[in-house]
Amino acid sequence: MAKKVAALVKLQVPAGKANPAPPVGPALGQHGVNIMEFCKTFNERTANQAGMIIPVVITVYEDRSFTFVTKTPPAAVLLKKAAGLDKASGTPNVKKVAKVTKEQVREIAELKMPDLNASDVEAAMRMVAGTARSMGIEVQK
Amino acid sequence: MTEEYWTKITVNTSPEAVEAVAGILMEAGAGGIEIDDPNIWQESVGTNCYGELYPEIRPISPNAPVKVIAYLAGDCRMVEVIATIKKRVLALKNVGLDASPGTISTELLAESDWAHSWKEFYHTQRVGEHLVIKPTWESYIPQPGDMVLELDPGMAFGTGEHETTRLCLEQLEKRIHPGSIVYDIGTGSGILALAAAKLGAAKVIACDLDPVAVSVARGNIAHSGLDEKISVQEGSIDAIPGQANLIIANIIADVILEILPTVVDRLVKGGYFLAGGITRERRDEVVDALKASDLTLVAEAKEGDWVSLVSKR
Repeated sequence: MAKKVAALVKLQVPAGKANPAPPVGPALGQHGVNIMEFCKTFNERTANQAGMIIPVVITVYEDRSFTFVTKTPPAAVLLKKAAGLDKASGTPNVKKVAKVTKEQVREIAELKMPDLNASDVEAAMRMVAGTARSMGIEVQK
Repeated sequence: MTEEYWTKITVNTSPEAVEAVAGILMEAGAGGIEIDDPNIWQESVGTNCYGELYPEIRPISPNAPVKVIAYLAGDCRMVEVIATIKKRVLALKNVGLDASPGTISTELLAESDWAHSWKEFYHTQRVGEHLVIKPTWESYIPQPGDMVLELDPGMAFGTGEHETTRLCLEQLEKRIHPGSIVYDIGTGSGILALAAAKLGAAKVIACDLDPVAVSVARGNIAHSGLDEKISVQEGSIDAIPGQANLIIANIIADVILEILPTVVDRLVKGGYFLAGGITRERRDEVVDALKASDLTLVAEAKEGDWVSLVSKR
């Protein structure tokens, strides 16, 4: 059908755990999207990635029907996994809590390349390395 | 624990710091993040490819600030939490990330029934002379002659809320004869196929390229108990053999032009082709193509930006 796009909504939601609470409820409710339908389908599609945070882009059409695509997990989540870390450092400049290699940063940058607003892998690596340092994760030379 | 209020925290930042800021907000206790990125339109054009139309997109600087939004429950210790977020966002420059402008705004939201708020947008509506489209949760007492379509707005296009859907329903009501064989190309939610069956079609074959639409349509058809009359298949008109008395394609001009030769081939002599989803600018082009395919334009209807055309073979 003539699906004219009315809105695009970008969220990061825990895999398999979308529910009508914020951010999903207010972000989609204002566009008239059937929230439970979104949650049900999102949870079904991401059930096998439990524990991950999944970025998702929802396309809302003029008649308020919708579709969505899921993206690669956020850099911070992938970094924690790579570094075996539970919680980032509250004082990243002073207290380093973990280390990752440059190679790990490159792997994450390459994985996330299609979803990052980066011109090349070097720029993507800079974003990932910056995110790592912001969490108190040291990037080895 | 009752949570009566949510604090909406919006951080304005540069694209390169989005991931880091999202990480900071998640650590502050957010259950998820909303990202309001002005460049999202450019990134998303052409990613779905089931005949979407995008609004005209103005070029935006790739460095335009992005809003990273989190909602935190309750208001106790919120001042402290926000101060920590501020401090960590400001500190991003020390790790080589440009987080500018880095401004933070907060807003208090009262808890509401998010799960059902969207239902405000849908109500029972009358289309044409006899058709009534009713969301499953509303009650309606049918008047004599009413044909009620029950539809849950799900993921697939075709909720009856859009002009093109309404225009097609009106034309369908006028052109269908009892016992007709009807093909619905690009069925979406299945709304037009359902209407065709309710209006007396003997058999309806619906198809859609999008597997999500196919499953949504099947669900709606089963809910109405019309699975004996309507079949839904994944694919386009090529996959449907035989001929129909009426073919509906409420898609977009480009797709209608593409499938037109097959439509003509699948239409019995004297059968009708109902084409919808055509914008006003494309109307003449589609009319010319219909004529060139030996179809005679017998009716057209307009609403808003949209045109639907009925032609006869």
